Amino acid sequence: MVFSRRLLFLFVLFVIIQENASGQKSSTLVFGDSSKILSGKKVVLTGTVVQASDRKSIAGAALFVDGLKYGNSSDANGKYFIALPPGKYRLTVRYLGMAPIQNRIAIYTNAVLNFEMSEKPEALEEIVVRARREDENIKETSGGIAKLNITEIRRLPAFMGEADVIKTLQLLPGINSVGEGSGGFNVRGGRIDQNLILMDGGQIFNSAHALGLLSNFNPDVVEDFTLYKGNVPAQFGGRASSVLDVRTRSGNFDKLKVKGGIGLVSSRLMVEGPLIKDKTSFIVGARTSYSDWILGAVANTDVRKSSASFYDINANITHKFSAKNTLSLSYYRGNDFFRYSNEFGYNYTTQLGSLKWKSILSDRWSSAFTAVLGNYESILYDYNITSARSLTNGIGYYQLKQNFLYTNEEKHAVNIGVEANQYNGNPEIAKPYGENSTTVGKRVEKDRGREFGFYANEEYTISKKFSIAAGLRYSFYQYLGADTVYSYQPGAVRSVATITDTSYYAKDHVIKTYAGFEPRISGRFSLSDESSIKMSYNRMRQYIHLISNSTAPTPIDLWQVSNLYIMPQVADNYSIGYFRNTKDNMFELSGEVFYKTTANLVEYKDFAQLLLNRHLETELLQGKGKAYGIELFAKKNSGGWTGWISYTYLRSFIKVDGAHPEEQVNQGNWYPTNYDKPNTFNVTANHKLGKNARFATNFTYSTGRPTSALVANYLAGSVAVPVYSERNQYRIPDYWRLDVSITINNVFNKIDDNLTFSVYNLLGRRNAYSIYYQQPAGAPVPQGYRLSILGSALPSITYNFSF
Amino acid sequence: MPVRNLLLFLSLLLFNNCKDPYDFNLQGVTSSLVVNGIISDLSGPQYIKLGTTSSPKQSPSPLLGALVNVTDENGNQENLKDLGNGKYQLDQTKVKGRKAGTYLLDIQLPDGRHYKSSAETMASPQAKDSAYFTIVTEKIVSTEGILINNDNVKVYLNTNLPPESEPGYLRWAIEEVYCIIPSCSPRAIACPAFCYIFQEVSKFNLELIKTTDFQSAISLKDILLQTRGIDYTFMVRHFFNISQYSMNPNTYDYWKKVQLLTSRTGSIFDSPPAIVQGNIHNLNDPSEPVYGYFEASAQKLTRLYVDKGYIKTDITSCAWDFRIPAGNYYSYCLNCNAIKGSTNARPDWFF
Repeated sequence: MVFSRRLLFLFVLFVIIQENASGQKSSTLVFGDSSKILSGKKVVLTGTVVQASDRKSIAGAALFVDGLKYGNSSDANGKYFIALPPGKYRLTVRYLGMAPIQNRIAIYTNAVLNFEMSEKPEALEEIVVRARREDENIKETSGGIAKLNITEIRRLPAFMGEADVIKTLQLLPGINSVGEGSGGFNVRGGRIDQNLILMDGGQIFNSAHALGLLSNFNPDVVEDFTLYKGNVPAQFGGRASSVLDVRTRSGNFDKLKVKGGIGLVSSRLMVEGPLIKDKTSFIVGARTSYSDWILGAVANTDVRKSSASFYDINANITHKFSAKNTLSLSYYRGNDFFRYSNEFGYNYTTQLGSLKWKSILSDRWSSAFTAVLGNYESILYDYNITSARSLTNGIGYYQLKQNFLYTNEEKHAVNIGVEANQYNGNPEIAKPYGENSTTVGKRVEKDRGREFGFYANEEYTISKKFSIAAGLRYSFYQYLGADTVYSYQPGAVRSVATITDTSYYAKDHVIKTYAGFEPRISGRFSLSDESSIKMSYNRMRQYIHLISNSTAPTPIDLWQVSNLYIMPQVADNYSIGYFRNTKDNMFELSGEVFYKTTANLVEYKDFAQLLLNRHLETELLQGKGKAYGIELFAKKNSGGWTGWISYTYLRSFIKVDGAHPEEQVNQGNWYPTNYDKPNTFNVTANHKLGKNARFATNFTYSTGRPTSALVANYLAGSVAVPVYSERNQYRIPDYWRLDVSITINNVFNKIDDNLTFSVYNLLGRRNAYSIYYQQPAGAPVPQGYRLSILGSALPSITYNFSF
Repeated sequence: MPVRNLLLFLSLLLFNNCKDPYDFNLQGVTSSLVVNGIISDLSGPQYIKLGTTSSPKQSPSPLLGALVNVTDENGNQENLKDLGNGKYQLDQTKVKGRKAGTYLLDIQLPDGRHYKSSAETMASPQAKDSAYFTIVTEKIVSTEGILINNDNVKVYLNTNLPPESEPGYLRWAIEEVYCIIPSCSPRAIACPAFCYIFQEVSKFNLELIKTTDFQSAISLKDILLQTRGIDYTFMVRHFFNISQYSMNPNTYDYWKKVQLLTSRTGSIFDSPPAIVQGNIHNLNDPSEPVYGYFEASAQKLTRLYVDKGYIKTDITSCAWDFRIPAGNYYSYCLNCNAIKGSTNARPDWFF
């Protein structure tokens, strides 16, 4: 703790240091005649922002008009609008990783001004943690949005040197996980399956590599990502908590580029370039691990006989038919494999193919059509000779989405569209594995469902002080055959013993329908140029659920669509926040309060048997959830030191109060969820060391998650049987960790490269992953143990290059 | 489930995992009744044990003075003899365990509380067992970093499952029985009697089988039931009594849950812990937690012994040596009756 106090002190000390950024200067551009201006009427400056290298549009470039302290940002097509009184201004365009452009303009009539931005070499770049307009956090309409650029992520210390989207997200307020080695993340007290994770519009059902130590987003191909944790625009739906929208890059239209990294246990390579110059580009990025050489060096024979690996591939081809029409084809495949000695193994694979057609229909209308085909499959292997078997499950899906965007200067941005998703649960198949296996095969068909969403969402800037974002989504869900549906004795506990009838429905027969409106509304009131208050409310419906009765998500968890008995989850999210920037946007400060209720949250009966179960509804319960909390965030965007401090107070509870004792948990009382962590505190800091090096660190602390404790035991024959408390009445010890890294740029003069040394868990803290009980040999009663995944500091070294 | 070791694997992958003892600061642990017992189709006395839970650090306390009886489906009732240590004995004079018989346990505590079990029907034994052992030397590194050779007896089971007609539920338990020939001083008027020690083997990985999970009439081979370190208990002859219990579905369900709880390793694959509900309930207060299970299961016994002749390990016997002062003998040599589970009555099968 002494170390962390010192770190905090240093951070606070350095964040008060200010630096002034300098930009390029140019001569004045004149539009119109100053003698012909009409008094009181504004003129509109419009245009597009593109990359000079490949003419790719830049979304989110920040445009500032000095003197007015006013600006805007480019839209998804790189277009921008600024309305301003006739006069002379200095206009600055910024985007992370690009050299800023500064123009003096004299504007007296509507005019078009396009910008071409050039990349800024990393080594010369000042440390600016900014991927968007400097005052966007106070000027945008909705609160609860986290946006980061991959450049920001690369600057933080990383596990095994691999920059990671989801690990970085967990340093932001309101986002946490149940611990190291667990996949997924929890947003504002929601379950992990309540996060819609999109890669180029396609859903990702398991975002974890190495069971959550890394995620499946390759930093070389990720362009940026946005996490909507508070107010989710109506164009997104299908999950009850948040949306993580990850966009990957399209290739360079101008020249061939190569980028990569070599680490101790994994490496990556990305190649991009034109297929037809200025018309068609490609990008291929791949990562693979090779940790078996480490396993072979471990003394433990079981580990020596083990194997672990992952790989992923991203590929994209983008073709510009014209300046207004672009077609993009993307493919992703990620795979993980584990084998532990002769005992068990895993193999899980995500595949995603998507097609996106973007079209600019007019000055104000644009269209985006997306078609996605995805599949997730996991296989669990049991290698024990007589009981050897493989168990396969997964889910496949199709998605079609048509979105129209209307923009009217800087006042209106309207999204209208329709979306259709079909989910096909892959059958669970157990097969004997190997010639000597004595097990029997089993196959359980899984449910299918189809979800439609119709939406309209408008962001309307009423005045400089007021803006509002209002949207309405209507979601419509069909539970489809072919399926066998069981009827249960009315009023009785659902179990195999209370089945009264069995009905079979043919393929595509609509067995059950759910539907409902999902209003989304948020508003911003600016108290001044530097501060605003934002409020939001939104309702979200979720028709697909992750069925997992384990401490943390596992690759073999089932995705289950809503059916006759498993109702959709319906969440209502409320939030209000205060946002303030100071020192010319050098500092961002915010505080948000949120409250969320969820109906039909899925829970499990004690000892639920979820795999290969034809009557899954007999093991599931549905209850009510509530979560609330406060998020505090302070960020320093520029200067010698950059970074942020965040604190979250968060509570998350669930109540399962069925009609029968068997349908209750903890006697029907509210109890904390598995991911209820009241206090979370994160600090990240980045500092430039001389001309070519950079130091980064992050510190994270959180309250231990809830668990059940052993309160007594008894002997059943020769077995000491533990008696546990009610669910989640105790907590594992608190978690904290300090990571550091140093990056040295320009290792070799001829290419753009760097060498990163990082130490994960520098202080060697033995953070508890879980508390469990085992009876030591000869002991009369079980002993409690705290299991830590990392017991000491974990150093790594990675060489990154690009040319 | 084999995947319980996954976290261990991950940890080893990262070289430096750790497992430290940990205790929660528990408050207000209440005492509850624990009932355990079995009625089987074997002849001879059968036992029901009563106790109360205490803190997690202590074994349950025996519960004395209860009135316990068993009733069968024909209305026969037999009171159990209170042996005085929480153990109650069914002599099978009026109620006999037999296949397809149904039994009900009734307990009245001295404070007036009254409990009953659910009616339990005995299933039939369904597999044919055979057992064998091997003696292996395993090298382990001590906490001081010294390489030590550990000699162990490994007990294996082969079992032939019956043709599949309906699901069968089988469980195996193992009991070891050994003999101590106590030290006998030449000055003693009479040498102490031999001790025969019965000990149930503490097991974490319960051997449970649902026959329909396997191919019909298959032979399951080389199931490791027990790894036993060689020590003084092998000085004469060491028996392993392997009992196969054929359970009804409810009993299997109970043991399956116990298995889930006792095989937890703290990994992400662990099911959340929960309370295993037994089949005993308080007649006046059904919400009172009562732990344990009264089961009626057919029992099949396979006996295996390890003769001293097989053992290459040096085992110090209790034989009197005039060069050794009396105070330097192992306590089990001087008073083997103090060992838990000891009796001087030689079982008729012990040779």
